[in-house]
Amino acid sequence: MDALWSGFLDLLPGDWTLFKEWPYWRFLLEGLWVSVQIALAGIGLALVVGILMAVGRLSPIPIVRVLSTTYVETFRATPLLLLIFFVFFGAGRANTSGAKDFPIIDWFLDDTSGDLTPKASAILALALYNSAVVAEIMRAGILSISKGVLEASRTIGLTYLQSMRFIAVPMALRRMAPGLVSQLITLYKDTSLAALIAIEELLRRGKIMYEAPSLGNPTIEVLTVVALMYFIPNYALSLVAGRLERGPEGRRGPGNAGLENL
Amino acid sequence: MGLIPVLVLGYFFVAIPFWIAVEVVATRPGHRASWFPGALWAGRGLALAGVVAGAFGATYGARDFWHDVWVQLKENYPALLRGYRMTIILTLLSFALAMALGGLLALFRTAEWRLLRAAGGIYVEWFRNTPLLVQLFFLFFALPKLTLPVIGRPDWFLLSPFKAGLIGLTLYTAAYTAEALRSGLLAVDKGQSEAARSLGLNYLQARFYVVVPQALRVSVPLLTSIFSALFRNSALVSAIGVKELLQTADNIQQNNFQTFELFALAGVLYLSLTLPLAYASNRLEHRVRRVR
Repeated sequence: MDALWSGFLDLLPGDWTLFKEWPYWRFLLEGLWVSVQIALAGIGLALVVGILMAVGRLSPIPIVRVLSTTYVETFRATPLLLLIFFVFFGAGRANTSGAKDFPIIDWFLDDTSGDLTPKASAILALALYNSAVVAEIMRAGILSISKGVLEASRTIGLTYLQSMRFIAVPMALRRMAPGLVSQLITLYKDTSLAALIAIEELLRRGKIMYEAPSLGNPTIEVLTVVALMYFIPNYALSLVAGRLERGPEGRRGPGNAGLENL
Repeated sequence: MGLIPVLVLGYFFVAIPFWIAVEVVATRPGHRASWFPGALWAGRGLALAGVVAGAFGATYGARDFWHDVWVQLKENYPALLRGYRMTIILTLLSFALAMALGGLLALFRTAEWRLLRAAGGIYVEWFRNTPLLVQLFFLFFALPKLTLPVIGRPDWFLLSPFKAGLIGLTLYTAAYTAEALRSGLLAVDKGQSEAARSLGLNYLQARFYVVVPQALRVSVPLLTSIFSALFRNSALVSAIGVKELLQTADNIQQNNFQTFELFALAGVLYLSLTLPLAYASNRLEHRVRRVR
């Protein structure tokens, strides 16, 4: 197996000697794991906040509507890198050490200094941006449910929040599945921005590897492997999104979902 | 306990619950007692007064912050505006190029010849599913080391940051414009191109005179949001050293530590274009939906 693999690498143009040895793979794969952690934490937070904001934007209460619309429109229209810089550099100026002893918040804080960790600031910034996008996807999904269904649910005695909780959100979730999956693709791509605030995720690990003089600076080879590590899961996800978009009978191949939020 | 904490606590624990309770009870369908409207408006008034007071308090509390923002704007506006101009130039140029390349790719992807379809598909999938930052790094750091069989390693592989950023943004955005234009092309009824063909137009004529104009109209809302996304994505080229808006703000910020103020300024400058674009995209979408 090993001989087969290095024989294959020898056939390729360029210098692939690094990738014949496991430790270099492991170095990159650890970075991949950090990327995946950031993506999962980000999408989790974004989904929770996104549902709240989507329901808030459709609320009958004017102030709730205005506040959640402001949130969504502002964060959706800001460059993600700006948000990441804002949270990351801003975290140094904000004093968060008082929150160090609170249960869930302390995951995000450094144990000794009580500052926001770089990884946490990347997660927070990604969640801020993506919750706004998710809220838009969900709002479109809820709006696509015909008014009669919601009116019917109100007339059988459900309150506004109940009709959202039991009727609109479950129905909408199925419709927005393709959009959400393609947003996950975007989110996973965007975790690469965390490399710019010195988090050792996939791209940063790649950069460390090709900048190390002792390894012979194999820039092209390392970046190709890194790009493939982003491409493979994303392409699989885009096939899933396409399948969800077309339903079980549709044509094969990736679809069009989420084109508007790249 | 002073007066202000009492007022704040009273507001949060009495006024807001009262308002929500009245709101929930009074907006129940078919249960409108005669005293509800008065209570409802009283509750809404209380809540609004609280929000206004809170906003005033927050603004008053943050007056130093906004003062600092103003000082930073006064001191650094030439640099910031230069950065803003660079961002806009990058966006406009790469959007124009991406439209051309994307149009070509969309025609590839809807072509009758299978090989063209596959080539367009591979391009779009590759550039859509890898991060823009990796692509920029590839153009800026890896391309100068690339040796090709016939042409070798020409000088122009060594790109300046601006060129690398421009090419990177173009290649990435072209994948998205291609998809937007393709969905427009597919939305045009097949009968249109069949009718054009039967009138004696050849394949290309039917595409350009009949199908493409109709397709463009369908894809305009999508293209607007792609443009807005491109404008935001152009912040990424700061990673390879182009002096655009974010890079400028970041440089100043690293010298004088006015972090929040400068990023807030940069944010306002970005929002000055993206918010109107989002609004326009919404309006256009409604219009296209109504026409169809």
